[in-house]
Amino acid sequence: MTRKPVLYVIAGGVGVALLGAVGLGVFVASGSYDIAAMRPHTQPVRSMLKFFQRRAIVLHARGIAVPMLDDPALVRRGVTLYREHCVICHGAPGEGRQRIGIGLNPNPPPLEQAIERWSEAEIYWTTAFGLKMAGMPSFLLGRTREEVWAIVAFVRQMNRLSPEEYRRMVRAGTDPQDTVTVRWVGKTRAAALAGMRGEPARGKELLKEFGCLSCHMIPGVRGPSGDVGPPLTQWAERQFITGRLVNTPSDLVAWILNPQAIEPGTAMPAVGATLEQAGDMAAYLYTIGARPRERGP
Amino acid sequence: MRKAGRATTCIVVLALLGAGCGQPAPAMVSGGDPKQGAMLLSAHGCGNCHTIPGVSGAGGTIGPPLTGFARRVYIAGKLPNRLENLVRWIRDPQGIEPGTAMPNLVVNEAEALAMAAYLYTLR
Repeated sequence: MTRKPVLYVIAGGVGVALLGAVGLGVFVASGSYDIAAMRPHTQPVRSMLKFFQRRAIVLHARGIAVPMLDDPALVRRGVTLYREHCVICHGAPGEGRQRIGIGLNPNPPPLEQAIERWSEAEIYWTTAFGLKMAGMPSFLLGRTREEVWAIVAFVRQMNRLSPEEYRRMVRAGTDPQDTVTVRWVGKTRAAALAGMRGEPARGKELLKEFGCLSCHMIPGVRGPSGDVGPPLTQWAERQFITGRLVNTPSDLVAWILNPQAIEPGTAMPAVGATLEQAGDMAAYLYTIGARPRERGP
Repeated sequence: MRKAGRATTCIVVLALLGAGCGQPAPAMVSGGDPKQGAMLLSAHGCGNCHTIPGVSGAGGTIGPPLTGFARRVYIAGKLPNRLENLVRWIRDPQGIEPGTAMPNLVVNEAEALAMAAYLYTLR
């Protein structure tokens, strides 16, 4: 007699599971889920697919040995391959995807920050083998592993490339006669952030004193803020400053000191800060949002 | 019969996905439909680079967030934030600011108007 409640619970559980399975079956068979690429997935489906994809990539890329990727010749080869095969869907700094890459769902992500979210092995795995149901083809088919690693060698450099530096790289990579100087291998954004000096607490006060709030909303800096320029939310994660500079401490300081020199005609004025003050303000701004991760092997 | 089927589907969809089936009448703003605009901002992948409240998958940090966009005074630090400027910027950023990180995408006038209509609902 005393086991009866347990039996009810088990029976109830089985019943609910059965109902769920039948419901799912009816839903799938009804064909009512909108599979049009143009319209987004519902949020639960999107979240589930993203989670599923991340788990699978992380697991499958485990144990892949990453070769030396800081090789200028490899990066140079990677730029050319990237231009030929990847830009059509993923674009590049300042360069849009081509017509064939438009309207895909999932949307091919820009790869500027790929190295901050994925390890080199994970980027290799995804590029080499592709992703089912995602429009991402396997690039290893008909090519060599070295060519795929060349693409990875370039992609891991992307988060330090301004649109201008990217264009220079492309020119130097495609035209052997071009004498333009290019840093094929450089410091990533995460490394640049790690070397930052400046006092965040002082910077926070300075942002207020210099009146930055009158144009920008700045998380953590209290006071009435304006909407003249963009809010500085998630600043440490931001890739570009004014669409031209890569968001690193040195470039942010240069921007704060003299915006008109970088972008003539911009609404952003020089506030008359010293180099040290600009460094402090930058130091505070990089406390906003998550720092980019360096996901090496 | 079909109606009953649809109602069942709707209930199942609601139960499984927590999504609504109702199709409210579109509100027209500046000749564009904001709801269509939100869908287009997602479909064109604007959210890959920009954080846009209310747009599916729009949590990008490559460019600035578009939160509170209706109140923003300037576009790209230069253009006064008016409808015709926003439409121009969406369709041809490289024409307005050559070399900017924002690429030219393939967006037609009607789509840009709808996107603008949505962005102007963000206060």
